[in-house]
Amino acid sequence: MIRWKGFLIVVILLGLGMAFSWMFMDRWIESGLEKTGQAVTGARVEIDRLDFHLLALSIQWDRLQVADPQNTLKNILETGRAAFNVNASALLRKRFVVEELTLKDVRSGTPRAYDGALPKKKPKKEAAPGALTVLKDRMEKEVQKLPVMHLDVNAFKRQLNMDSLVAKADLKMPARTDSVKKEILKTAEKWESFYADFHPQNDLEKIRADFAAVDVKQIKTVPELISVYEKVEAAKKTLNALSETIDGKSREIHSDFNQIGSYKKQIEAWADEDYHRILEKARIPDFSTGHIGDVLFGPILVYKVNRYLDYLEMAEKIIPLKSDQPKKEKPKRMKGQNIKFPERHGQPVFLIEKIHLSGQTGATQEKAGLMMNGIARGVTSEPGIYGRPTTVDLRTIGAPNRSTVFSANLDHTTDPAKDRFELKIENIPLDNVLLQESSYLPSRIQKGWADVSVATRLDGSDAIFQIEAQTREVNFDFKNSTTEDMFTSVVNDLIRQTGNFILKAEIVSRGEGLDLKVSSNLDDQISHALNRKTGQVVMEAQSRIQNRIRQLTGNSIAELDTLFDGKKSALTAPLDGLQKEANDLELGVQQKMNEITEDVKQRQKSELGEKSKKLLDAILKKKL
Amino acid sequence: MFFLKLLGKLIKVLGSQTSPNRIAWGFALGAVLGLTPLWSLHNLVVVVLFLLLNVNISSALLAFILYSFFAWALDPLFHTIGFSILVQISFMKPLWTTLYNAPFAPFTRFNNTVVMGSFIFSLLLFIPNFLVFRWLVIRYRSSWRDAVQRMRILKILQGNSVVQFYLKVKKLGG
Repeated sequence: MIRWKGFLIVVILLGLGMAFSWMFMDRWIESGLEKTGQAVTGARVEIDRLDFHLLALSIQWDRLQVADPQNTLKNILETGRAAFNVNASALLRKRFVVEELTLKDVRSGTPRAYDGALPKKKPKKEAAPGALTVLKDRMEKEVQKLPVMHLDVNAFKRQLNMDSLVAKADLKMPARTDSVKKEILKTAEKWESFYADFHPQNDLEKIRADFAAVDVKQIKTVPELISVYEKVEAAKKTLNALSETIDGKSREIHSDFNQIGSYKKQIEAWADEDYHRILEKARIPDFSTGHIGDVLFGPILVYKVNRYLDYLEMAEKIIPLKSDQPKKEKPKRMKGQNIKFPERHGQPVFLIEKIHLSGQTGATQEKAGLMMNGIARGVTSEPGIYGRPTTVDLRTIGAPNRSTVFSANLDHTTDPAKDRFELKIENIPLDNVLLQESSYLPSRIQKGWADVSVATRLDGSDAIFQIEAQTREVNFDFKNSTTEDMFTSVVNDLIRQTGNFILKAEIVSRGEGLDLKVSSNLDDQISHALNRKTGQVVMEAQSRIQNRIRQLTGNSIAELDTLFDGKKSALTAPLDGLQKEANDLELGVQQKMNEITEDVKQRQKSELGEKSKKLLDAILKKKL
Repeated sequence: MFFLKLLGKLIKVLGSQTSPNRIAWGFALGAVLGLTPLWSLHNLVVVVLFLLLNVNISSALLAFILYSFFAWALDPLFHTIGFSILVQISFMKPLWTTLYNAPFAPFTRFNNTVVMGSFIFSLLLFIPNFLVFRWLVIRYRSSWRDAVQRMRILKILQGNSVVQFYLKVKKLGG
């Protein structure tokens, strides 16, 4: 059953396999690392001259370049020579564990020899966006919501065509007054129909007549007195019932009209709402201090923060968030789903325990920037297994008057993940810094200095960014910033005079909401300057709008008032009259009853038979 | 062309004195190779078995091609089987955890649902495959050989100009 020739073939094949591996192992590892890196960054990753020593299990390369996915002509990261050993026992268990790695000449923003973009792939089915993507979208939307501050006074005056503005603004007042009018007519109809069926006058008249006829002095006998008393009592009951109905209806009609009448209090608010609607269409900006910081610096800050979140998203692909029991996925055909089991050796599938980093902040040798070094610990694909957060500590070296400290703590061992970042830079040069994201500031800073402090906390989907910046001796490049726009020109005038800015910003995202607050020492000055320059024009415009609203709505409001007052008085008066009549009658009845009671007492005193006394007592008891 | 050659070889083998067991074992092993993802460590073992054991390579290759199509179609089933075995059967978890932490075992990709599902499926089919194919070989030799030789499809294949051309070229090449 054994094929002896097969042994030879197996040996030859194994030999060939080993020879091929020996020859191409470096290339395979290099290609594998590049592909893994590209999957994480979405841009080209290149390793130059990777060398793998099987016996020592060591890897070294001459250069690593990672293209910036946002600007593929530059590298997001470039390192010089690196050498490290791979943990052998871990490798036998298919874990890639590096205890210590040194990355020298680390730089960012270096130019690339060719484009680092990857060929476009078919777009994948959209998965639910992650917390960071949601946060980025939310911030971009917040920036889009910021008011547009461009204001050309002459163009503004020309464009202030009231008829067109009113048409565009879609005023709500006419519809609202119409609705109130309908409400008044409906209520009036309800009460008119009530009056058509409600006729208590006859009953009241009858009661009045009955009482008028009663003269206590004329009653001779006790039975006659009793009969009169009973008659009065029955009338009183009828009167009470009527009075109750009239009172109830009176309360109801007054309540109905009071409710409708509340429109009078709302008229001002409605007019104000329409006024603001026209203001918005007229694009009269709000020059209060509160908006200026947001408008001037908000887009720049959000752009910078979003770039930083891009990097964090990349980091999350390397250091994923904690996940629990595997859920059944729907993988591609013949790909399957890899299930992870508890790790007994505490070694994740990918782990670099310690990275010694050294490099420079500048992209080229000529502009080297600051020299920095530091340590990153616990870079892993399975933070839950590693059990410790990933930390990065970097600081400047060899520049006593300039200090940069960056620290990061990415704790993905818990759910939700907790990420903390702090960056403090002192005396950072602002030579040739581009500010293309702002529509109002010059696009370039020629020179200047800044101290910047950034603190970030990310807890799951909640995030807080606190940014403070203080600049000194800043000179902007105004070459291409001639403008007709008054806001930009005011801003430019002020920043030309002031080289020192203080900027404070806080972006808070909690639950569904996002709050962007940016303030600077320029806000008040810009606000005052703008109000001074535009005050007259804006006030005129505002006054014209207010007059137009008054003109448009004044007649309909007056008509509404007349209708309301007319209907109210016409419909409430009959019930009010009836109420008064019923009250008067009640008083009359009470008076009559008092007379009877008085008469009874008198008759008791005179000499009457025992039987009559008893009857009179009964009447008094009944009354009392 | 390769497939025609293979088919020809197989028909030749079926008609030869080669033991039905050798042919059937080859088929059963080829089915394992065809059903499971090719680039898996266990398939290296299967290939070594092909070479070391005196099984028929033609039947193995035929099974490999045939079952590769089935494997593609049955992939969702393999995924479900693999997921159940790896995740849902709790008493097996200690075994998988031990293997996951053992040297070399992770290179077999046993923790992949399709690898596990298809491997189990191919193991379940292994003996039935052997028995059924062995029965077919015996049956072919005893009853069907003449009928198959007379089959129009074979004649068409033999009369096909492409096949004729191939056979001529083959003859020229010695």
